[in-house]
Amino acid sequence: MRDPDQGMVEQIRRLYTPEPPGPGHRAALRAGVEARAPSRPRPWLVAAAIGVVIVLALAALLMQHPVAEPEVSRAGPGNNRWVEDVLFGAEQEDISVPLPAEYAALSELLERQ
Amino acid sequence: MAVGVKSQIEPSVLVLAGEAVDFARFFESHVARARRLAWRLVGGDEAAADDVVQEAFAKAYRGLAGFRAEARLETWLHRIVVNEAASHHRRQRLWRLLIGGAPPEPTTPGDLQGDPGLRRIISGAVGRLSRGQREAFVLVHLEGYTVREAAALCDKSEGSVKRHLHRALQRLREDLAPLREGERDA
Repeated sequence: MRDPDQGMVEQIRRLYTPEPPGPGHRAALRAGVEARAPSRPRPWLVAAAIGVVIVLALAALLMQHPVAEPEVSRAGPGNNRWVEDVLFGAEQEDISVPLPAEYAALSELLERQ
Repeated sequence: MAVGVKSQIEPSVLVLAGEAVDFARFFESHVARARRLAWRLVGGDEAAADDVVQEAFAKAYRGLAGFRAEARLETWLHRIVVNEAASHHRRQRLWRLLIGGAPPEPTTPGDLQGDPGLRRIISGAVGRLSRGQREAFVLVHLEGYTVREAAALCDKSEGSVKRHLHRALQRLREDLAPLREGERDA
């Protein structure tokens, strides 16, 4: 039994067909293939690509770990600012403690003797 | 004249099953059929067919070193063409989504004027099939592959190819009905 779609399919096969490529068209296609399929990667291109990757990697590393400014606080010893103040004459607080009265009298008595 | 390709493409890569194959000869003997397949898969677009077939040959060249002679060389090349046509289809769809273009409208029977008119109607009808339907229809009905071979070429199951084939014929019958009625009236 004949397939009812066979006539339609045959007509499509006949009409839905391109013109075969002529010599000029084949040459153009060949040139296109040649341009897209180079034989091997060029050495200078590989070297340049490796160089770019290294530079980018270094840049990324530097961006992740920037050189940190020393943190300044006035908390006391161990702090750069505190050392600078002591060494280079910043105003010093008076840290002397007055003696109790009994000690002062005793000290006077001893001096007289 | 096969100098164009031979000048840059090394023939030594094309050693298949111990036999050296000249890429230029390979190109010359397969380009016509590969382009016809590409043309049919991209809906009759000449420029797209050229682009697809060139990319397919370039990929074939790059992949020939890894070619295992389990399949016929031509079948293997056609598989690449099918994949490239599918990529083209995806790019086109994305482009349509971005710029909001619409697919071509079906041509009315009033446009029928000899073979060019018929060609336009048929191209339009095939072009409106989905990618899967078009692949199945083109490979099985127009290129003469079996359902199993077509399934292997498209990387689909046989059942899926059969379903696509059935729907493709259904859509084509509907789209080309005016044409068939016109034939019957004549």
